[in-house]
Amino acid sequence: MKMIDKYIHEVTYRLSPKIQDDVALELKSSIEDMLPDDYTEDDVKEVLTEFGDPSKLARQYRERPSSLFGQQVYDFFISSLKVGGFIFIVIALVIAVTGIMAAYTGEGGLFTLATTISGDLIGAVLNIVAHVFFWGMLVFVFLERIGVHRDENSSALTGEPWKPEDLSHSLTTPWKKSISKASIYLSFFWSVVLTIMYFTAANGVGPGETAVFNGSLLRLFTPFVILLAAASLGVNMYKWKVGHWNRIVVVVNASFHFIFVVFLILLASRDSLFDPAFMTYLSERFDLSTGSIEMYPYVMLWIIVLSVISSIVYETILGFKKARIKHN
Amino acid sequence: MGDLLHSLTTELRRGSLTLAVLSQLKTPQYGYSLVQRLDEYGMKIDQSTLYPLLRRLEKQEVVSSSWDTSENRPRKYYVLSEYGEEIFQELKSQWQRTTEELNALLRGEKNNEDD
Repeated sequence: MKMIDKYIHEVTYRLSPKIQDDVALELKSSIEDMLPDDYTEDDVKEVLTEFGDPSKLARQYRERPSSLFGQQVYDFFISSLKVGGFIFIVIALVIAVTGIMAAYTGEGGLFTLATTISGDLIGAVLNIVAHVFFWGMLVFVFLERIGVHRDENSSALTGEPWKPEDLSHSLTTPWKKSISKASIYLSFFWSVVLTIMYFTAANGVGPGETAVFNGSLLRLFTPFVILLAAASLGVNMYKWKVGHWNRIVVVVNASFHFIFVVFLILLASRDSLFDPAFMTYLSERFDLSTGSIEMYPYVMLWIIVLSVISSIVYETILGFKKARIKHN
Repeated sequence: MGDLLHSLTTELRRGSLTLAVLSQLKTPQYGYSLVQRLDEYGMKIDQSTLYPLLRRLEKQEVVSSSWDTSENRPRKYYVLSEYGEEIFQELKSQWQRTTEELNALLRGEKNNEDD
């Protein structure tokens, strides 16, 4: 019966993928064990009531200390780790690519240049990530402590004890169609990181005494950045509210990303994007002529821009695919 | 008072549940058969407590599990491991000692009241 599957899904999607199938199978056979041969919906409800709130059952399985870090904080933590991993992969790729390029062009200084810039970049990114991570955690812990009903037998939203009837409005979308909360956190997290990075760069913070980017150019773009950040917040809130992919969500999401990509390309293709002083700094530091060094920051910039664009395109296509999955 | 009493009772029972479950796992049991066996002795256990508990015990290698798929409904059977048997015996004597001590204490309290 559908209700049993829904219940089991409510439990297992909160568990680690490794044990999901096993737990699902065991719960299903246990629930069926408790039902009479010819059972009715009321029988199912009775048994499910005995099993109780699926989120509580899942908590029992998870056996993690939940006193300070609850589900949301934990998810945020995990997705932050994933973002960190992604950043390192991108940077490692950039280093590898420039390393190969250096080998071809025979310029030994280039590889050192790439690793040093990446080193600075890693430092800056880590610094920002640490900040965002810390404040993000604090907000979530605060929300959880203050905002959420703490009685573990009652629903966090309504304060009522759990009933099997709650299943019908807790999950009406197929699992594959839903927008995961983690992806929304991730997207929100990225917007914050990028905005902070942008304003840091606009205020002329870079390696050595120099600014990396042309501050006045960046400040020219500031209104757009603020608009984009606001739009990103809006899109994420909208995705959160709807909770699953449908045509409107996909179109809203895709248009936002399109605008973001246009902005990114416009910004990256400015000739005066990098501060001349930064170029001088690089050529002095690595003992290369200003003319030959000028293209490398752009190469790295475009590698990053293109990887961002491809990940956005991939996500958008995925969204369209998910929107096409039928409701049942 | 109801809420407090409830949480105190839950706390009191929590430790004894493991012992109760282990005592029935000398022969392989699946979830529902275990519930019934405990029920025969008047021991009520929440479903939402039992299955996670069994999985934890399995992870701690106190019990081992196997799927029986020969019947029309697949069932996961749990049985005490060798290590689990030792743990169980140890836990059992601890429990007996504790209940004796506690009983003596409670009797003492009664005597005081009589005074």
